[in-house]
Amino acid sequence: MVSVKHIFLAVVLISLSCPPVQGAQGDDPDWPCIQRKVPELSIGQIWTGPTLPVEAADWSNDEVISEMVEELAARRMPLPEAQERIKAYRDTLPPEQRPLRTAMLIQGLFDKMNGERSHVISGIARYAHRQRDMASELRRESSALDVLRNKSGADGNEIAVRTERLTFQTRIFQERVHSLTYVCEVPTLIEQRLYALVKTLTEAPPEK
Amino acid sequence: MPNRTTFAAITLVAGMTCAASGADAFMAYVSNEKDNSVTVVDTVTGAVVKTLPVGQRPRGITISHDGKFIYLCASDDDTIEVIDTETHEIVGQLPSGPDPELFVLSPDGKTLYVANEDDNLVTVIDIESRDVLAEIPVGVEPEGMGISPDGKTMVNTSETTNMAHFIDTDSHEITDNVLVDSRPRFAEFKPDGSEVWVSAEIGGTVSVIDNDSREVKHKITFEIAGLRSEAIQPVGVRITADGKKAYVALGPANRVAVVDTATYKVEKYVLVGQRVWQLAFTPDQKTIISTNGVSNDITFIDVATDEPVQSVTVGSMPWGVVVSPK
Repeated sequence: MVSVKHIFLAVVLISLSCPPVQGAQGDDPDWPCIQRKVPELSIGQIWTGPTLPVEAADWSNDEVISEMVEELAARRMPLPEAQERIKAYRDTLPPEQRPLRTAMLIQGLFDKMNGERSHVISGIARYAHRQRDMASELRRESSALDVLRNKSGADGNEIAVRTERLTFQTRIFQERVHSLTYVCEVPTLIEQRLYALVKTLTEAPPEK
Repeated sequence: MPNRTTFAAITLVAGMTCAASGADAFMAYVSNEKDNSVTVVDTVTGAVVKTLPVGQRPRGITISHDGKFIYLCASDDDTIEVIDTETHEIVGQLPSGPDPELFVLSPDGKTLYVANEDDNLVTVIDIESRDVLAEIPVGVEPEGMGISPDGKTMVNTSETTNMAHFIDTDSHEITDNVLVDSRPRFAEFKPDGSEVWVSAEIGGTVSVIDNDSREVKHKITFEIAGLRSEAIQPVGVRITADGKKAYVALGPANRVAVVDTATYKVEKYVLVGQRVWQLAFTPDQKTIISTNGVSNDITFIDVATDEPVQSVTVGSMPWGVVVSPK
């Protein structure tokens, strides 16, 4: 008799033979997301002011700026809090220091968060790789089980154990397919935060 | 030195424009894909007038010619919702077929052509009777929808097939298929009906198709100093009523390109917000509004100067926008 479990497996395994889990671009096997892959951000996406001064590139040598970049970039600090922190810092600066210090923070946040984002993108590539390996492993095990089931005198217990394991691994695979949607959104979340932080940094301070 | 920034400039100009403006108040309706709402914004004051709860994953949005009803694709609810612009209540639904994403209203306002992304169909709906008049099989993942000013030709783009399908609106048959660049998103006719502009998100181009020969006569490309080419992803396209200027939303390039339709040259890139998706003119054509999906805002661009004059925060992931006529 064909059990519900077997039907579930059959359906899932058919879907494994189909191309990637989302409508990815097709030309890049390491990019499973629907969003077009933008491997790195450009500063022009967040900043259209004049070219940042050369000194801004030295932001990591400045202890205060460096510490602020770490703090502000980390998503554990809620965005409104990070924005308040920026405003508070800006208020402590004498007017003549503001342009350079602002530029250093912009460059620092850009370098830091762009790096993080690239790291996430390589992570997504690894994730896609693992999914592909897992899919072919599941397909292999499924056909091996089919062969076993059709063999006379096969060990019923072994079939049961392996079917159970296959079902379990297939569920894990499916869970991972679902999480991909969220994983693919992480680069965008980083971009969103970077843009919001830079926007706060460049807004004119209120008149006193 | 960055002592004056674009953001600051936008805010400043915004203040001046609002103070000086005495123009007619139009209402902009913005579909917010992620929080299942429509934000109603007064286009003169920039104030959010109301936020309406709607169906799941609202995307394509348009308005009846008399301005009385908003039509909204609630993609994940597989329906088109009809919203009364007076009461802001959902007063009905249209049989859209599955996963409606974008649609276009015929110039006489009687027929709605809907792209059903999951089904590879274009559904034709009679608005008054709410009947499905036809289902036209098209390429894989249909999306962009444009209609000629005389209402005789409809163009649908298919995301995966990379084609613009020309459909005769009398026979409901495809008459021509034109290959464009990768992942076409939007089709916009020039007001004189001579050309159709089709954007390609991955290809990074806009193909200008001659409506007589049905051939690509020009391909517009975009280059922004300091920006990687992958970030330039053309989506929404709008052409002014006089046919002279086109506006192209460039996705994560965070800019709208202003194109001279005579020379096909990009005259300007206007910084708006993150992931610019769709565009809509106010009925007086003085302003064009962009939806910025990632920064959760919309930007008003002054059509005379092509300067961004105001940004307004709306719901989560704004997708489409339409402005009510007087």
